[in-house]
Amino acid sequence: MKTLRLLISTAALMAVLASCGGSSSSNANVKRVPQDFKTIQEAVDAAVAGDLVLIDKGTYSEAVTVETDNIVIRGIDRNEVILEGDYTLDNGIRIVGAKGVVVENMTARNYRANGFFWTGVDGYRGSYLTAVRNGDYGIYAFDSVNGIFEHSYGGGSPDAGFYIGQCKPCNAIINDVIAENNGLGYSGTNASGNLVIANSTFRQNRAGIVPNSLDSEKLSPQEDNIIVGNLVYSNNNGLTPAIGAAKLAMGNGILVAGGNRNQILRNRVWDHDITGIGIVPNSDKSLFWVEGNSVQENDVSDSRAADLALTALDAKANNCFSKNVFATSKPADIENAQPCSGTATAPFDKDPLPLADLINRVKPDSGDIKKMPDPGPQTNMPNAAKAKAVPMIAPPTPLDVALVTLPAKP
Amino acid sequence: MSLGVSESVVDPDSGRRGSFGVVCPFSHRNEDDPIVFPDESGVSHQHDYFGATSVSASTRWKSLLTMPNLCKSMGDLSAYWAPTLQANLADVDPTEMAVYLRTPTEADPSDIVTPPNGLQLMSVRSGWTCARTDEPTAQMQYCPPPSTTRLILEYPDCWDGENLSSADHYSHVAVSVHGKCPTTHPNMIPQMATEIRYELKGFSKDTTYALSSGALDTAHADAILAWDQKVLAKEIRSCIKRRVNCDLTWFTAIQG
Repeated sequence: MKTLRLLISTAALMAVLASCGGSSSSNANVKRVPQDFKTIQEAVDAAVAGDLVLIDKGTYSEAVTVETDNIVIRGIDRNEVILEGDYTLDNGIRIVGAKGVVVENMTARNYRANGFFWTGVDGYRGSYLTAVRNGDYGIYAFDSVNGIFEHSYGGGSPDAGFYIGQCKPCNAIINDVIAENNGLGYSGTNASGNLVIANSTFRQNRAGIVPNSLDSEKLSPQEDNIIVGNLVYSNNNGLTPAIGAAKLAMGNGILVAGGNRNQILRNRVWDHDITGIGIVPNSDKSLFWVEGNSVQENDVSDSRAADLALTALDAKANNCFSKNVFATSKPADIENAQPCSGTATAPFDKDPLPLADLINRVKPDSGDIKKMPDPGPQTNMPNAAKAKAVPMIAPPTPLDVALVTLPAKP
Repeated sequence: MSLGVSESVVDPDSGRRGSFGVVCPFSHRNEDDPIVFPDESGVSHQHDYFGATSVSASTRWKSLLTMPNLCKSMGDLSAYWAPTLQANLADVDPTEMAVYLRTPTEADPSDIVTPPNGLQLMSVRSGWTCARTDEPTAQMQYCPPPSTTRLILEYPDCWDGENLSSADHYSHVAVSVHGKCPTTHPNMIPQMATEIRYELKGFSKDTTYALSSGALDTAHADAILAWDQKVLAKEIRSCIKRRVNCDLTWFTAIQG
């Protein structure tokens, strides 16, 4: 009896400990919001490397800054853990120079700047995130390397739903995301080297996927992305909010603007007012020409100017087109003028699609961000309550591009 | 007023030098100057104001704390102003001013303190450029749309620790040299650089440009700082002291 009584009192003591701020040994690395900490910021500030900040259902009016390496911040329910910017707060969660931070399974909406934003970091992952109606970007990594964005949604931003900028080599993967109702679905300014965009959907933005070179960020020009196995359609949406670049790029599915050696493979692209897949120079202070881009095995249809288009300095720039299914191209007969292997059998046309066509069209002014719709319920991460917290301590496992096939129409 | 072209206006390593930024849209214009001609309406050359929406000759920093402000950051309630750009004698509306706060060249970010509200700053250097990463020039650059013509201005980054202003509007602050402040002004504050953006639609490089203050080489800008001090201190700690570029997108303006 005496022994049993002792056991009971030990259990009671453990229960008391567990209820006092998660200090029992079994829960030492979980910081719960709001049970243990009233705000996400307080929990993040208390966390140390390896900890999980686990956020319960609720709406949180916070702009969280993360400065601690290797923590995981997770919502218990992607659709019901909501960070609310109310068009006054700047960023939902901003990771400032902290390595390996993972954010997963929550929504950030109505922020003046960005939903989820990593800057100056080595190691990042955003999974099962929903970002909607944020004033610059939805989900964003700048000056950062070794990262993953996956199973996520970015919508209703005037710049890009997803953005990776200024990195070389980026060592980054965007996989299984949806971008819609943005100025640009994906933008990647001067984002180069081992950056793969795969198995994702870019629809009803002003423009779909836009790797680009600009003088306004370091590490230009943009190079070496692989864009593979995506659905890219109906990116002509003049109702979105839009920065100037999004207005310029409007009506194009995949538009390489001044980038080099990008591989565009097995994407299904349809319904665009200008081009399905366009490879064009970009004019900033510098004029960025295009070299060595490869467009192969895509299925491109229903483009009003051209399914496939190229404006390059000359044929020696080695931009190539092969094995695509398409109806129209500029220059005409593009796969014989610029083949990926063998000898060209058609003449090279230097300027078949004058840039003026892209720029000078009258484009609708920026739409009202507040009118951009919610996406509806999105897929939750499996077992959010108990799944192990895994910070991003190693570079992402490479995605086997050869296994990514041309997706079917939805 | 020293208005030479700065060699350090463009950050040589913006990716790793701590900084943060705010974009403040053009608000209004008048012929007031609350620093040089306080309480005297209509006696200054014409100024364009950014951020705070009703700045006039009678504005004081405390009134800025409750004045509606267009700056796209909840923390910045400052007033910024500059002479109006004129093209063939007509006023040009600027689109906005981007405000950068960053570690001064060669400085140790741990030396930097939070500047007080009410601090008055006048620019000490200026230059024109088309792209943020280009070296600014003393000559105005006409940047054909959709490029943006940018006037960049730099401000003192050392403070005497006591005075928010001074009779000559400059002597309460100073400029750091090789990352160090002079003993007379030992408190290093983030270096402020502002970039006024113009879209010169309908004009050309042959247009005659001037400023309401006179020739183009009279370019300058003034500020009265007013921040949510808690937010300002946090941005300095998170971004500047940690050497992270926190808000680059706000001042790149991709032809937007």
